[in-house]
Amino acid sequence: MNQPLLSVKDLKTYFPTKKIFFNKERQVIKAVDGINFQVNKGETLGIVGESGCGKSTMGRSILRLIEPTEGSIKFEGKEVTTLNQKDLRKLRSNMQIVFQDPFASLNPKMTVGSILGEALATHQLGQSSKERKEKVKELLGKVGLSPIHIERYPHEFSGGQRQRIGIARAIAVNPALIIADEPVSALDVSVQAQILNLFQDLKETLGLTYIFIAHDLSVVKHVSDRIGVMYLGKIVELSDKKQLFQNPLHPYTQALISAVPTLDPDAKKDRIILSGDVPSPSSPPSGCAFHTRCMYRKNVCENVKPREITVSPGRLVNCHMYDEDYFVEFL
Amino acid sequence: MTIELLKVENMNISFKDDESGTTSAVKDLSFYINEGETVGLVGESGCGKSVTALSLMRLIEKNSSFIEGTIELEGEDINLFSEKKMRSIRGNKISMIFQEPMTSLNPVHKIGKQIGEVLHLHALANKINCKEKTIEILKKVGIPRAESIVDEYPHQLSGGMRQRIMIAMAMACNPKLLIADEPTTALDVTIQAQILDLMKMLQEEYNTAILLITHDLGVISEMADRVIVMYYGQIVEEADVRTLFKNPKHPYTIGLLNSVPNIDSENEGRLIPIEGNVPNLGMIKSGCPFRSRCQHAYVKCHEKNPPLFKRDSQFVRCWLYEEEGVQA
Repeated sequence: MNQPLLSVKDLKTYFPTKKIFFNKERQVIKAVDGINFQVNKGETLGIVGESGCGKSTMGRSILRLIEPTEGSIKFEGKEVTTLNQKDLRKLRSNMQIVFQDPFASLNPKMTVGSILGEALATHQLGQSSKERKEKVKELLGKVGLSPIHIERYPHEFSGGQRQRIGIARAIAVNPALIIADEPVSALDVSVQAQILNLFQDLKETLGLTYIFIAHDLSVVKHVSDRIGVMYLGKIVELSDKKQLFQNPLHPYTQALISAVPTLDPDAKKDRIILSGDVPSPSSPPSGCAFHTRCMYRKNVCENVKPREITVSPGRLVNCHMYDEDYFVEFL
Repeated sequence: MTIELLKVENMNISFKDDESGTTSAVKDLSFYINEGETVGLVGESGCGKSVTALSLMRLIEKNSSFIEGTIELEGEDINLFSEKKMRSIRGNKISMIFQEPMTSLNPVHKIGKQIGEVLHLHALANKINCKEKTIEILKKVGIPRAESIVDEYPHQLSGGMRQRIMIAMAMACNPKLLIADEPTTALDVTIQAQILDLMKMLQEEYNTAILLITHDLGVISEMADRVIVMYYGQIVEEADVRTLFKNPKHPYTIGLLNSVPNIDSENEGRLIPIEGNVPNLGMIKSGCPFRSRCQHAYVKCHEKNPPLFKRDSQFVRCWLYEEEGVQA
């Protein structure tokens, strides 16, 4: 049987809030609250959700850029959460991240050559500085930049080009998995398409696996093979792309898909408009976290946390409607 | 019958810069908005759409910028108005909402006070009935527990709620024209759907015209009656929403539509991006500003910037349509 490249089990990342005077107990923000999924080699798993749902925290927890509170992360069968710093660094040459804001993630005082060269040197790729320079030039070519850019500073590039540099840095160490955290949301649409195509090309030529985190459902749909929909620290639905869009099961997924404006002015779709806002993760609602905005809400939703239900192989949903113990309530 | 509300003719907006005198941000812009109509203004960052909106309200700094041309609102050229007279237009006839509601609300004043100020200034309420009126307005834009929200500060509210407050303030005087500059860009999709729904509802109730500025083609297709596409400070295409999405003509419009992943399509292939980047203002001195990114560019495009060609009700600024259309 195929072993998954990455397998995440019951991952939880909690942040303690500041201690308030006279208040004995520290509150915790459950940014990621029990997440399970697997990523197979060569596939793209899209993670979609609204701001504050914990999708970025999840991405960073997998790389241990933020230490997870609980749970297990296995990369190629090896447990990541218990690694020491030295082994962790080795592992990071296999798992890389591309950030949203290419303005903030590149050191403004370093040339492109030294930014990429540093990545190579840290992971002992290339023996001499000359050899590394050659590699940097090759990398720039791979991401659609030219070798003359090697002496330039980040501010001399446009947003799209900077994101190319960010991608070059990620692929410099020959990773197997790249976590892309909102890589195109700061870019104009015409440039966004260039970067999405670059991701696709690199996946094919380098055999990469992606976890693609974004809030834009159309972008996630375009790049992903499977999609996980997050709401308040949980994956509420996990499914292959086609099924998710043809037959969304979770009420939140249904609302999310229907809320995306279409490009066809003639299409008049029945829009589900959710009332209210996303609740704060510091005081999530009882029972099912989505019950405050759900149109099918029943008593059980307010009191009991939903379980993860396997509807069909590879298709998970976190909702009482699909739970054989509770579905009678919804009839 | 349709009544023309706003008519902008040959508007040029330029900014003083250090060296060479001025940088032109918007060139020769002409458009109109009818009463009760939604006009979408679409383009990428730096194309001049926000500066156009600010100029309509005369909100860009006078010392460092020039607005030429006429901006006729109900037959009067507001570009000639004194600052004092302009103040009677802002809020009353034209009002505006912005992308980031947190920066447009005052963080140290309660919501009630900020809306009350609007009502006071426009003599819609006195000291006695101010709170009552404020609550009434808040309820109209769908704010739950309006009675307690008036005593809260902006930071206590979510992004969607803040944008509702901004809309409440903008709509307080029942303006003829609402300029919405990227009103939902900072919001999540489910909240975006709420805000767009609210804008539509208010528009139907008060017959307000909306100038909707956004980079999001989906929002445009959903909301607009007519669409203006801008590139490098110029209108490159203008058409009714159906024509624009079904039969786009300008290579830039076609490129934009091709580069957006469509949520409804089953097409799994590659996107067709527009190569290159949006040029910086002042970089292109002659010819068509889009030519360096255009697949169809030929000699003429390098020599001369095309005028708008008109065919039926569609306007295209491209030499490819020189023979088909009439110069507008």
